Amino acid sequence: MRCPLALIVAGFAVALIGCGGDGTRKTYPVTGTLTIDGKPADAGVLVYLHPQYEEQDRMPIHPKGETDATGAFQITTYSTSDGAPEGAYLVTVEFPQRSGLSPHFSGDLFGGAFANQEANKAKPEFTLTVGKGPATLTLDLKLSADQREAFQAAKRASATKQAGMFNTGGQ
Amino acid sequence: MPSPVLRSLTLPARRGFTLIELLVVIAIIAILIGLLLPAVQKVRDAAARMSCSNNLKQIGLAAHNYHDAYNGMPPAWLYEPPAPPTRPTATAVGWGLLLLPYLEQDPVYRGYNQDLNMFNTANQAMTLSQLKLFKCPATPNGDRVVELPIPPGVLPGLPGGTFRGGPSDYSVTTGIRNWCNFMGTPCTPPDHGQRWGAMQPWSTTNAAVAALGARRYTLVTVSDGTSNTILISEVAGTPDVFNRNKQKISPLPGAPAPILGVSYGAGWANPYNGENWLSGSPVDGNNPHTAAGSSGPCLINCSNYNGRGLFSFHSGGVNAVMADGSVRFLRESMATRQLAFAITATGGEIFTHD
Repeated sequence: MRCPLALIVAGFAVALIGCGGDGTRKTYPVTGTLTIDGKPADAGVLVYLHPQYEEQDRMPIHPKGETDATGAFQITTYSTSDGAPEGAYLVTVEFPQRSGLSPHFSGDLFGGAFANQEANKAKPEFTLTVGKGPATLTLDLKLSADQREAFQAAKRASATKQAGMFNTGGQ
Repeated sequence: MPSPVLRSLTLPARRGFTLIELLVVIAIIAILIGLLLPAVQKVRDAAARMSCSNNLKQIGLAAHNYHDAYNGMPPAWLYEPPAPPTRPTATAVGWGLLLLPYLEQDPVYRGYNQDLNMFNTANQAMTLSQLKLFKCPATPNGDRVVELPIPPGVLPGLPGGTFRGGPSDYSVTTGIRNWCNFMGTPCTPPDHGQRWGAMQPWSTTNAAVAALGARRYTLVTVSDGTSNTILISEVAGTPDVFNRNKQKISPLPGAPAPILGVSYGAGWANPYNGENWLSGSPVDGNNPHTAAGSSGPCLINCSNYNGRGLFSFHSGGVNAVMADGSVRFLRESMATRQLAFAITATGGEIFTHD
């Protein structure tokens, strides 16, 4: 008598887990380090993973990580530092600048130099494949002399910028 | 005549209930009560949800009345540049205030001097009104006061100050940020693509309209169809911040000092309540204010923080009023893309609501 009951309970549990009704994929930890010209990146640089596989999920994903002061980052897909689902990804990097109180970003301090997906497709260091297990991504951003100058200028400007609270987006 | 002692010995004893029988009866009653109580709770929830959607219906009708009077959708917020001497500083008011005449709240509307900004003491007496219409009964932190310190210059000509006002559980869906995140299309920094919702900021001054890049839709120019476009939805519980499990998580880790613990879309008269560009949140609704945490795959019931998504305390979804004035219950299980389509006013996408 006790055995069938236990079986029924177990069956229920399996059914509940098996459904996975929240529409999320299983993720594997993805960590990495980001350097700019060999030196650790500043805190607050965003590393995006763009899925290169067919996504027909209820919640399309866009895994991303944010560097700390040592240039290390952990990828987040659904909740903090949970990694990314299995599959191939294209990597883009942005250094977003926040405007005043607005939660939205008003610019990329790299000027979009590492955010172009078409351009990054040609560079093997900007691709990542996540398998059934932890993955790491080591990325060194190489800035040309012009880009470095623009980047330093943008960083100085963003430190002093007083920007608007409202952002209507413009045209 | 036998003695009483003899009778008690010879007649059968009067039959009572055994302990087991009593326990069984009590257990059955307990089970029945156990079955009933959740049903009572469900009915209470359903009643709160209906009352909540009724508020939205009123707001939707008010928006249509506003449209009839001004020949355009109500502004998400209305900005006016300084025009001394009548208007000494710039002003900004939220959609809630503009709809008051159509919600039978004319005294509050007329008590608010729109030539003075929202930090003015006389105006704050009005904005502090606790209006039942902007409150959803399912929200646990009912009467609350929104306090939002605003630094000078966030809008041209607007001085700094502290906004104080009564709460709103409803907010405009101004548009979608991080469009590419939801659609899987290539992303361009910094905002990853944005799409406009049906209610937008506006000004009666042409120069200000041009400066803001403002746009205004009418019922005709909402080309996705008014029944397919969300006007106003629940973003309940603000200014407190709640996560997916409806737990209060303010003060926020990592939030800058002026908005510590304040989801600044809050307050029915707050212009920021009309500035709700959705970019999604992490599925658990936590870590909302780091750069990485400020967007995510979830748009319904994961976070009530400004710009993260729609949020309610109902189980399973949120109420929203569409541009045609109909109120729909948007389920949590709906595809994020579908919701994004429903928020845009002129995307040309097909929104299928099951």
